[in-house]
Parts: sequence; structure tokens; C-alpha cells
Amino acid sequence: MNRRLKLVASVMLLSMLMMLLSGCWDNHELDTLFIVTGIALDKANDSEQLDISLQIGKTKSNVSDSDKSNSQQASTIQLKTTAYTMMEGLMEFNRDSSRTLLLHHNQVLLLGSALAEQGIKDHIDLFLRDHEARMEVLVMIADGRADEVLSAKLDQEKISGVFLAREMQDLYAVSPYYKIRMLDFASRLRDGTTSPIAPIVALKETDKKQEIKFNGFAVFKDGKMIGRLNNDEVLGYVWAMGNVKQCGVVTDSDLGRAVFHIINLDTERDVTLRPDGGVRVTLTVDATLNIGELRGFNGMTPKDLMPYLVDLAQNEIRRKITDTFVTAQTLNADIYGVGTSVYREYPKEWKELKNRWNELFPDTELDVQVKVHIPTTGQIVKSLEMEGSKS
Amino acid sequence: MRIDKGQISGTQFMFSVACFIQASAPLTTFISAVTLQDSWLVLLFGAVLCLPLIWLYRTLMVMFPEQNLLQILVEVYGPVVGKVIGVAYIWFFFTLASLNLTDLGKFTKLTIMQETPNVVLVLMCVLVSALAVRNGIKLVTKYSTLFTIITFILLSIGTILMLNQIKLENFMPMFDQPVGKYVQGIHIISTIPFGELVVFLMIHPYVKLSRRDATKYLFLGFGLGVITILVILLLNIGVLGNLLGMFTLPTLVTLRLVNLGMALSRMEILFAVILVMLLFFKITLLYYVSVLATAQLFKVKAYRQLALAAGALLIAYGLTLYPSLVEQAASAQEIVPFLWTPFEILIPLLTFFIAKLRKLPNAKEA
Repeated sequence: MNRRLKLVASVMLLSMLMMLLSGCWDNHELDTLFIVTGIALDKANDSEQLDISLQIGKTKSNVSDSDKSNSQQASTIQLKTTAYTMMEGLMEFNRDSSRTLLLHHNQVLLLGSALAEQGIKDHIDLFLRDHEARMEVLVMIADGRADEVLSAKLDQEKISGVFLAREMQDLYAVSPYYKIRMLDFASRLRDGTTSPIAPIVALKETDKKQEIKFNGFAVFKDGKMIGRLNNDEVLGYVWAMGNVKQCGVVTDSDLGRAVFHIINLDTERDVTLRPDGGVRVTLTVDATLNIGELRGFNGMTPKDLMPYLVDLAQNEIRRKITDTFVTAQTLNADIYGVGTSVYREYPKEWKELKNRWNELFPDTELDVQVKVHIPTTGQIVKSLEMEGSKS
Repeated sequence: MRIDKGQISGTQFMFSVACFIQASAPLTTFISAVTLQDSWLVLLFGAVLCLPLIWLYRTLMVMFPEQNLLQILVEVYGPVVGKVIGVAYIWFFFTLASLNLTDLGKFTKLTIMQETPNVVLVLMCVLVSALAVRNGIKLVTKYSTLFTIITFILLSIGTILMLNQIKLENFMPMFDQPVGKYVQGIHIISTIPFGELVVFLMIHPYVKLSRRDATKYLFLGFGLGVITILVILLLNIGVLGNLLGMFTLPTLVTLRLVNLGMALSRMEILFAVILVMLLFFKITLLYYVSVLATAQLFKVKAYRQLALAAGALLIAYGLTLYPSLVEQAASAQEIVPFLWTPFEILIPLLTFFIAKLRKLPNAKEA
């Protein structure tokens, strides 16, 4: 009798738990959600306000319908509003829509360049604080209006947010420094001396077709966009940071044009304090290249050519790195985190240097040592025009 | 004299110790917010400095193999003073249990169940805990082995997936902060996770231990716990760098960053599993100890009857302890270490010396 009572009691208890544990409050059904795939922030007419635009990936069955008009439908929904803060905007969206917004799968945060120039420090608090906010969201700057980039109709991918995320994932394989996540961005904003950077994307329209182009890096200082690096300078930056896995090095000389393929490029950074109080940075670049393509170099023997090519590649890498460094110094933006390197190397001296960093960085000396190895020449040993190929 | 007839083995005791310390691992903010990138060093220093403390607990365990802390106190200080200190200890255990319960509620809410009311989460935990407490020490410690192993497995998975995002330069520079911060950090680390081991003085009579085994299992368990916290701290520092001090739950943020080829991502549920599991264990053990101590103090034979009432009190107490997380964190950094010091270090030390002077355990036998 007692045993049976116990059994009944435990079954009742368990079923009660079952009901309670399933979570009456936090159930999210797919058909009640709007999955946000991209957020664009723009400067509004009123400079205190923000133009907020959300891209929502539509849940849609993959089964091809006989009804053709179905495929013509847009695969995203765009919500737009203007508000003082991001949260107010989200509240408005939630009030005016039939479903709940889900930010977990947000791929990208696009900031319009006008807003970036005005300053963004005040606008990203939500992206760090909200419980749905993820530090892996990509931060990008849109040339012009961010909502236009977000609403681009692309051939390659139906959802532009996903397109941007995949593009960045590919670039990440080239160098991790291409991909700027919220974590990296916020970390630099908080750092004090290191300038945050973010990739710029631009919308390009050519006869009814819309494309998104990668257009260099935006450089920030004190939370404001103060300048940009063009695509060439971005290469110089990425090479200076090291850990590059695949990328091209284009060189041009009197004898011909050679394009190299980077197999591995590593950069070691060494900072020292100069006797006169300034800072010297030594970058030791160690690169393993592959010959990608050669044009010209008529009449050279392979034996002469290799040292010549090594020299050519070394000079090109050094030139790009130096060029970018000069640009950064002109902007007075420490995009490399040289200050942080000094802090890590000389924590005591840094306390004093930190306050003068704005004067010190433009005065920093750069020394680039490049060592290039070219172990293989590709599938052919000689090119058609080279000396010795005719014999 | 013994209220609970259960007995546990040495291995179970070891895993209980390990699990108890591990429970502090998901919530590393109390230390990482103070000493930032040097937290792991502080942890190691703290652990080494705590070895004598653990040795003290171990000595007390060996000196009084048949009596738990409350009985030791009565024996050493006499019935009146001993009982007064005993009441203070009950308050200490009870507060600890309550604090951990609040943590469980708040952090579960923060990680997975944002809209669920705090009371519901806390109530569920207390109901299950009460079930264990009513069944005695055997059930309370039974799952420690499983929990410890699951924690290790999940943690290794998380660590392996995060390896590619660790930046070694985030650990530099070392020893850059004012000395006071390190002292504060070591004080926090020795009182908050490690010194709390004093609760094991309440349950050691249930362990079948010889003198050598007591040392071995206690220190092994301690070591396992320290390793867990160390791994989590290293991971957080390496991944988050200078943002470490900004987040409420750095480990959650770290695990959210897992991204391996776009397929393996969003692993934060691992964190939630570890958090709930370990905190549940810690709460149950503290809950059990407070109920046991109360029953003993008031000479209640049927301590089981106290379990549910104590649980209700735990919830109510926990809800009123701190008005907000911010204040709780501030107090964990500034006040709690000083408040806990007498319970964890001073009183056991004093007890040890007085017992030695009065030649207590031997005098009784003689």
C-alpha cells in the first residue's frame, strides 16, 4: 500500500516537474520569431537620433512551388525606424510587428559612414549589454547609407547580411585581421591608444545589378571615423600584423611583372624605446611565397631570376607596409596597437608615455626587415620567354 | 549521537571537494575583475597559500575523526561559548547556501531563461535539493563524481574549440598592477572558493578515512578544483583580453565566440549546463550542512523534518540578500572576504591551538 502511494506520488511529482521545466516563459517557436540577419545604423536628420534598419531573413520552404511568383518575392523583410537609442527602436519594432525579434543570429552590424564620422561610441552599448547580443557579430562601415547596403539585391546570396558574413569568413582564412568582430572592435575602443578599424563596404550599381564591394578599412579615433585605408593599404596593414595565409603580392619592374602567392607570412613585432624618448618599431617579416604568374623577364636564366624575384617581393612587401604605416601616422591613428605593445613590453615607462601617445605615434620610427623564401615555382620551372627554355 | 547514519567513501569525498571548488569556476568575475590578466597567477599563489589552511582542516579532521565542527567547538570551548560560535557557523553556512542559490537563479536567468521568474528557477533547485538533503549525506555526495567528470569533459571540449582564438599577448604584462590589488585578489581567492572548504569539517565523520587517506583525498580534490578554475581563467584571459573586466559572465561570452567553420558555434549551452550542475551540487551540500548543523544544535533527532522549512527560508533569505547584482559583486570583492575570514581561518586556527593546549582528543580518551 505504502509502496503504491509512493509510486503515485513520484509520478505526480515528475509530471509536475515536466510541466514546469519545459519553461512556460522562455518558449520560442520558430513561427513566432523574426530572425534578424543584419542591423544597419545611420545618421538621422536630427543628429541626436538614429535611423535603424533591420534585415529579417524570411523563413521559407525550399520546395519549389509551381507558382512562379513565389520565387520573385523578396527573401528578406526590412524594418525601418528612427529613434534616439537602439533599444527604443527595437521596442518600436516589437510593438509594430507580429513576431518577436531574435537577435541571436544577427550576422552583421553596418554603420553608415556619416554616423561613423559623427561618432559611434554611444550607439553600441546595446550590442554589448543585451543578453541576446553576441560578441561575434561583424562590425562594418557602409560607404554612404548603411540601410542601402543592407537592402541590396544580390545575385550571389539572397540575404545581404549572410553574404557579408560569408565574405568575411573567406577573408578570415586569408588573415584573421580582416574580420572585425564586435569583440575586437570594442576591445580597441576600450584600449585607449589603439585605433579601432572596420572594413568598409560599398554598394555598386551597374545596369540593374547591385553588388557589394569591399572598399578598404575605416580608421577610428576616439570613437569617430577619421579616415580610411584603401585596398592596397589594407594589404600593408594585414602584412604588418602577420599571420597571413593566402594572398597575392603584385610586383612590377622594368623587366616584367611577377605575381606571387603567399603561402605563409608571419610578422614579428619588436618595440624599443629610443634614447631620445621616442619609440622604434621593428617588424621582421618572414614570408614563404609561391610564384603565381610571371610576365616578361626575357632573357633571364632561372638561376639569375630567383634572387631577383626574391628581391622584388621583399621590396614590394616592405614598400606596402611602410606606405600604410605612413598613412596611419598621417592620420595619427595607431591601428597596429603599437602603444599596447609598448605597454606590454615597458609597463612602467608606459604610464608616462601613454599621455603623450598622440605626439609619440607620428614620431615613431619603423624598421621593416623582410625575408622572403620562394621554395617552389609552380607547375613549370621556366616560363616560355625565359632564357634557356629555347635550348 | 550521529543524526545521519550514512557513510561515504574516500573517493566520493575527494570528488565532493573537487566539485565544491569547481562550482566557483563558472563565476570567475569575483577574481578576474580585480586582477585582470594576472588572475591566473593570483589563483596559483592563492592556492599555494591555502595549502597550510587545507592542512589545518585536515589536522582537525584527523584530531577529531568522530566529531563534526559543531561538536568540536562544544568540546573545545565548552557548551556555552561553543554553541554561540556554532550558531554563527550555522548563519555562515546558511548565508553561503543562500548566496549560491541567488547566483544560480540570476545567472540561469541571464544565460538561458531570460523571461522565467527568478523564484521559479530557485524553487525548482531547492525542491530537488531538499529531496537529496532528506535522503542524507550519501545522496548529497553521490553525484559529485559524475558532475566533476562531466565538467571536465565539457570544459575540454570548450577549450579545444577556443584554442584558435587565444591570443598569448593578452597575458602580458605581468605584475603591472599595484601590490594592493594582488593582496586583495589572493585574499578573495583564498576566502571565497578555497576557504569555503571549511564546510567539509561538518561531514568528515561520515567518511571512512584513515589519517593518510584524509590528506590524500582532501588535497587531490582541492587540486582538481584548482585546475578547473585555472583552465577557465586562462581561457577567458586569452580570448577576451582587455574586455575581461567588462562582462558579468566572461565564460559565457567566451563560449559564445566559438566558431569553427561556421558549423560548430553557439556553444554557450555548455556553460549553462556546467553552471546549473555545479551550483546545484554546492547548494545541496551547503543546504545539507546547514540543516544538519541546526538539527544538531537544537538536538532534533529527525532532521529530515527541517529540510523543507529550511529550504523555504533559503529562498526568502536569498531574495532579500542583495538588491542587485552590482552590489553583490561589489560586496564579493570588498566585504565578503573580510566577513568570511574569521569563519574560515581564525576560528579553525584558534580551535586547533586550544585543542592542542588542552590536549583535547587524548584527554577524553584517557
